[in-house]
Amino acid sequence: MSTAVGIIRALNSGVKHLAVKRFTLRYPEQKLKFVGDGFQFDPQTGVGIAGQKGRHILFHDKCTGCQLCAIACEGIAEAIAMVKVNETWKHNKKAIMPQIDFGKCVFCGLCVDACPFYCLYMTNDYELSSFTKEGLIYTPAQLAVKPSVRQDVEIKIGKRGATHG
Amino acid sequence: MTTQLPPGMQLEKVDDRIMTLNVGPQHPGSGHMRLIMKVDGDFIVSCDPDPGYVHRGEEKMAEYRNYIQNIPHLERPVIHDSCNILYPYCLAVEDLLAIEVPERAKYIRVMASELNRCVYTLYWLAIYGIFLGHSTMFMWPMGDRELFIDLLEAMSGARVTHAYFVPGGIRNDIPANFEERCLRQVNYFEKRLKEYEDIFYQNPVLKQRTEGAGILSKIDAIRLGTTGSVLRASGVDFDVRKKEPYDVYESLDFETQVLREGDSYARSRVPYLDMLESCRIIRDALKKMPKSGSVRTKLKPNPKGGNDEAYRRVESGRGSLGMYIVSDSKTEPYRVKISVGSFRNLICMPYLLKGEKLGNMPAVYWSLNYWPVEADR
Amino acid sequence: MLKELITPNAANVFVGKLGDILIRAVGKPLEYAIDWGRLWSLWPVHIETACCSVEFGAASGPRFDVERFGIIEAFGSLRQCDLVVVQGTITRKMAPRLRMVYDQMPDPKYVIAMGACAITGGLYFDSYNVLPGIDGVIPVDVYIPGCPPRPETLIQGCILLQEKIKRMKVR
Repeated sequence: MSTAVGIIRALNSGVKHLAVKRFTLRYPEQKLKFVGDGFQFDPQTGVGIAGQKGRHILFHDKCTGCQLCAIACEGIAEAIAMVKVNETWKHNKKAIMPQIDFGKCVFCGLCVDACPFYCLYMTNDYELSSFTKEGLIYTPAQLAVKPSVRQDVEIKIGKRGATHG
Repeated sequence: MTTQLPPGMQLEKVDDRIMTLNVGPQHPGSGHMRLIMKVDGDFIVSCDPDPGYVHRGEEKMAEYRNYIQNIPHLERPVIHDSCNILYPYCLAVEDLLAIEVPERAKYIRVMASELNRCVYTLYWLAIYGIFLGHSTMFMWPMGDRELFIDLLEAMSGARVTHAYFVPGGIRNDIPANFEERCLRQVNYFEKRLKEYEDIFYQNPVLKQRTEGAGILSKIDAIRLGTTGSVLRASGVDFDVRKKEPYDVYESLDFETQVLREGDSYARSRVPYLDMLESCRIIRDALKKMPKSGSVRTKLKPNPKGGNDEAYRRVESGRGSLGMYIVSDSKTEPYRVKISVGSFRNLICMPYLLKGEKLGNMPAVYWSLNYWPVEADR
Repeated sequence: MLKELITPNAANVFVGKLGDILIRAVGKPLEYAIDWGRLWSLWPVHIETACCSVEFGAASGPRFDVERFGIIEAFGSLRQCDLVVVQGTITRKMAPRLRMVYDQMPDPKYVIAMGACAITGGLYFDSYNVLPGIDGVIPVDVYIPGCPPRPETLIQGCILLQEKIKRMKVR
């Protein structure tokens, strides 16, 4: 008898969910909203600013080619390599800037912590899949582009369960 | 077409009565490990776990990296419990470098650790559901897990590999109006957890499959050195958060959950009760947390430990998780030893599966709260 | 006149030409149908190699639900699968097993390398037990970066793979 009651109660709790709103995020049409504009770091206070750890963004007008990001990455993933760029900046005499291989990068953000000149941040961009390994290597010119990521929905909790909207 | 057998694998001679059965590594019920089982009809005669498919040499590699570079490395063994595996590392390094952590950072750490425990336990529960053929129980925890993942993502910026804790505090402060959002989602989640009771834990079908399967007595649980939910399901009251409180666990209000049965049902129920306690801890921590203040003690760029050693342990999703660090006045540690709950719970698998029916294998195997990557390191 | 035309030789030519026209008429829709079938039934093998399986599991959960793209996770037999998602690190112990799983699958088969470890070795570039990427073991179609990749990135990779299948010639 108790078995039958148990099964009926289990079925009942499942049937209740027919009235619950859909939780699925319809990904290519809808995209998630994140907090902030990407993970950033303030070297003066030594504390970061909360944000999504996605693809990096490099500000060419601030980078001095000091290689601190590459040194920070050396023991982690060796994803950052310093390459020559065809630009002349007064503060970047060697004309080298970081180039990031996202096939190796683990998105830990410790290179952002290492940068003392507010020039390497992370962004909300996460759509990086590629057909080739070479397509994952982002040159300084590619890194300078600010990604335009659509952000539509976030989790909302209502009377009829959690949903996106 | 005959496939060339890889080195180290050979076809065994078939016995009349006792058959050798390989479960894994490519098997829906095994994960990335192999169980070599000898079965007599439907009964398991012996079981020999064969881990090591994901051995990546974490401990050796930690000797070549400095204390900050080790952070992303040491969280990889359990990526869906990454706050809890970094916790003992940070505590031990803080002991070595003699750093004081700000009060607010301590509360945020406890909160992140409890959120992460829920994320881990819900993933574990989802897989336990699908192992037992209960696919609703796969969908519900996987959906509710996303609520906590969203909270942790707002804090740290990544879905599972947060790299959020550092020696000296945390990497960034929590975003604005996080408290309110956290409270709302935790309250909602607690309501959802009550629904699990009806569909899963009081479900007679599930009870028949798990009750009495793989009973571990109290004496055996202590003798075999199990930890965490396995130990607490056998009636031993041991929780590192209570026995050796770290950070601010002393001041928080929660209880240790202990069951006496020691079977798969009790082992699957203890993490569930722990999740309810986690909700209490999060709410309490949100109330007692200082509203503003520093969250990170500034370190030197390349900190050096003294000629010293440190051992700290915390209660992770799988049991007590310890980190033993030896330093020899260099920027890199001399030795890092991770003592994990998964591997200690793996040891009791041959004892539990002996004499069980083959159909009980998934129920017993996954109730041990075992994550193969962590056991292999 | 007709008798002169219908020689065995000419009949053969006529039948051959008719066949060509028929193949041209049927081939295109048939190729399209086969492609369409392959596109929306990418069934991955259930082989978990390391920790990226966490996000692979999350992708099949209710929030991301890869079944919308015809990807059914936790599929029993690998004889019916046509996609290998290499979920993370391949160690020296796992590599022969991965190759064996790949060899047992019927053609056509596609490979997705998921996570930094599967692409280049990632964090474990200097580990003694980890392969530096899976290119030496099996051929890879799509690379999905991240450690682990977000489920959205995985879905984007699967959409890329579908595009690649569309462009491939049907065998």
